[in-house]
Amino acid sequence: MAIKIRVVNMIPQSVSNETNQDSEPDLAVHPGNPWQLSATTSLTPDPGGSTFAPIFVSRDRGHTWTLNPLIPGSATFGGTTFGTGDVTLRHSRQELAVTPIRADNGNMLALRTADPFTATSLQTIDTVPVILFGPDQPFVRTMTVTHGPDTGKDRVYLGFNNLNLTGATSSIDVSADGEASSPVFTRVVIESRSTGAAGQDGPAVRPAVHSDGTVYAAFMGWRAPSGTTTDVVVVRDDHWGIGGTPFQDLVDTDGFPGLRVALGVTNLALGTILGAGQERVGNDLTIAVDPRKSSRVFIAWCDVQVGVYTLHVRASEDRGKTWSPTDLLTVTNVTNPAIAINDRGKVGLVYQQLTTTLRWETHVRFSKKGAHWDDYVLSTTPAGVPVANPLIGPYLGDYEQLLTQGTDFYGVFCANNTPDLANFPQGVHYQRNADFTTNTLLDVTGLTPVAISIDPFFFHISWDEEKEEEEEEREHEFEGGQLRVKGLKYEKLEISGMDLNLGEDDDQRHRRLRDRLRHVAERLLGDEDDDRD
Amino acid sequence: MAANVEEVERLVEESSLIFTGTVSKLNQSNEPGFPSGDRSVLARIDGVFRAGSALGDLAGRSVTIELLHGNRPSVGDQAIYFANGLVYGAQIAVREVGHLDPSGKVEKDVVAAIDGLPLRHLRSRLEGAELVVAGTVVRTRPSGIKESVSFHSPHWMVAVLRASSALKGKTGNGEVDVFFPSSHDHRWSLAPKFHEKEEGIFILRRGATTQFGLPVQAYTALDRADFQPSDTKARIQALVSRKE
Repeated sequence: MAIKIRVVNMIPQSVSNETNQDSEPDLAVHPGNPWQLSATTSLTPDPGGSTFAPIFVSRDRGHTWTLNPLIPGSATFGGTTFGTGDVTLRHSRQELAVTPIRADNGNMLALRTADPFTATSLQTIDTVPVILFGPDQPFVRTMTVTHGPDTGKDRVYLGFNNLNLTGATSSIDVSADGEASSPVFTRVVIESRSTGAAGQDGPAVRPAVHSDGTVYAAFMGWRAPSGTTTDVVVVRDDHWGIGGTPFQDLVDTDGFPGLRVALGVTNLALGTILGAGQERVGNDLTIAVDPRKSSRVFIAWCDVQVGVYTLHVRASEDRGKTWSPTDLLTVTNVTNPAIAINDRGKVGLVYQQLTTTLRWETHVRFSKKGAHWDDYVLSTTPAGVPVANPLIGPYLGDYEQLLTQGTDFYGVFCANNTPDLANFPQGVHYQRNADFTTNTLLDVTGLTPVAISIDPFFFHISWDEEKEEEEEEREHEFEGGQLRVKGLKYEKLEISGMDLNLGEDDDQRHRRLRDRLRHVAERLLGDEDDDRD
Repeated sequence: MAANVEEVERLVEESSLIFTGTVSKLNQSNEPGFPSGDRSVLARIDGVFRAGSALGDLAGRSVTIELLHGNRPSVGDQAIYFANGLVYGAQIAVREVGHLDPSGKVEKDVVAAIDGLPLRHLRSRLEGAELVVAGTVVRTRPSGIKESVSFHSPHWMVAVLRASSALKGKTGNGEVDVFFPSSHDHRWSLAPKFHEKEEGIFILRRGATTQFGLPVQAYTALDRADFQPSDTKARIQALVSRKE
């Protein structure tokens, strides 16, 4: 197999004594340097006990991690400290943006630093205070503009559910220039329909940004209280979301902005515990745009089908106007889906499934076109161990994350931290002290056992490019003036509409020609009515 | 450096890590995630006054200290360091908030300041309270507040108190409604949850806004220190009267 999978427990050795329920992870990869990673969990406190929650940072592509206490707003009393609460983060080329909900007062902050490795504090660039019920579940996305008059500017998108409002609550705070000394944020309510008796939308507001300025956002448009009936809605903006009528470029047949990918589906009431898994659900939603072409978008969400909590994956090839009429993938008893697309158009999906044997399995799956999915289990752990901390809401978390950088995928999930290789089919590396022979966590001295708890795990997935290309090329070969596709020969091939830049070096030209041939072969494969990816 | 009690209390308030340490190397760091420089020293931890339990027993371990500007110890110098965590990796790096000479008096003052933290916190809660009563929860009931739905919804309940005595403020007819969050989400996990027949001292304040859906002027007790056992009544009375 050409795939390489690496899983790392992110708790550092110096914190080996910790037994926190470190759930609800997020991850950021520096777009210019994938060796620099930052991560958070919503519930990890400063091990030293201050009111600053830590950012996990890595300088070596996730092999090792440290905790840097930087995020203000942890709640603490008498030696008990919880992390900040909901928090996400994203790297632009210039800065790391962090958006927590402060546990001590419920305000949402947008924070930034140019360097999380050496920062001693984070600068606040936006605050959403609690007026009524306050902001909920911030989800930040950033993109540095790489061409045009705004080259170098950071676009920043803070998706959140604004419960200071009633009715339409799904919102995005947008900054055209997050790098400015005092960035200006414009708030956009992206729900255009009535939420009826629900009186609000669901917590999840998920932006997805393309480098050409197309911005999608997915949200759960509640139509009944607690989201038991919901629309899955995608909005789109073609100009960075900073124009006069933001997020109104995708209009549904009812005349309202926002295409309803799923209409009036049944969902579990928000916060329902999934089976015996100790995990609250009802808010599972993720969206990703193909970095090669903004017309290609994948979405995944969970709802109830025939009484079963079910994950659906669908795709659009026309900028969200139409979507696959049936699921490209359907999985039951799943939570925390996160979807991403790499530079070759390969789709990655991570999720956590509660099995019939009462285990939480973290799966990562890949597909080129959405029809066939590879499946790798990253972790399989007992769903009832440890017992959930009654003082903390999320057990594994209300979300996890999957990103791409080039062709590689990077992600984070949370799981039972028993050091047992049988729980990690792809292998695992622990920084904290652990005995894999006795399946025991050990304290900082390496002598005393430590109780099992929930830890964040990082994973990195790459492919041996040479082997992957060989495998791809076996499907289609160009040799001796003939194109072979799955054993069929095509003797004449015209390539039109292709400019060959004489300034390109041979490798670039060869790669472009090969990509073009691959495209032709894929089309031919499609014409042959074969659904192989 | 000598210090008065107020200075010790300030250092204790501003630090999460307090330990006695002896400088072993200058311009050094043993944590790869924290570069060495002219303000970093390695110190052996001789004794710990306060540290998070996740760090285990720090005594005997080496820690990297980023010193305050102008602090230039020599190898072998011992001090009581007041610090906050900077980097937790294979090793630990901390940032100095201040340091004091480790005399017997100073050590006693540090211990007293740490032990006194709960009392100082209780004093601040009492000072900001509008009403402090000794009483019993006669019943609890739903609040009737229509709340937005999120994982962090407070799920307000009302505890109806029958006050046996008012230590601060006035209770009117002797019954007081106290709104409390019944949610076990971490946002509300440090707020007391009340139950029927529960007795104690209730430290109450009223809000000026409708944050989180609360009625304006609703009594709440949202800090863990806002509910004290009944047998602390005399002490709390003394604190309220400023006799302690």
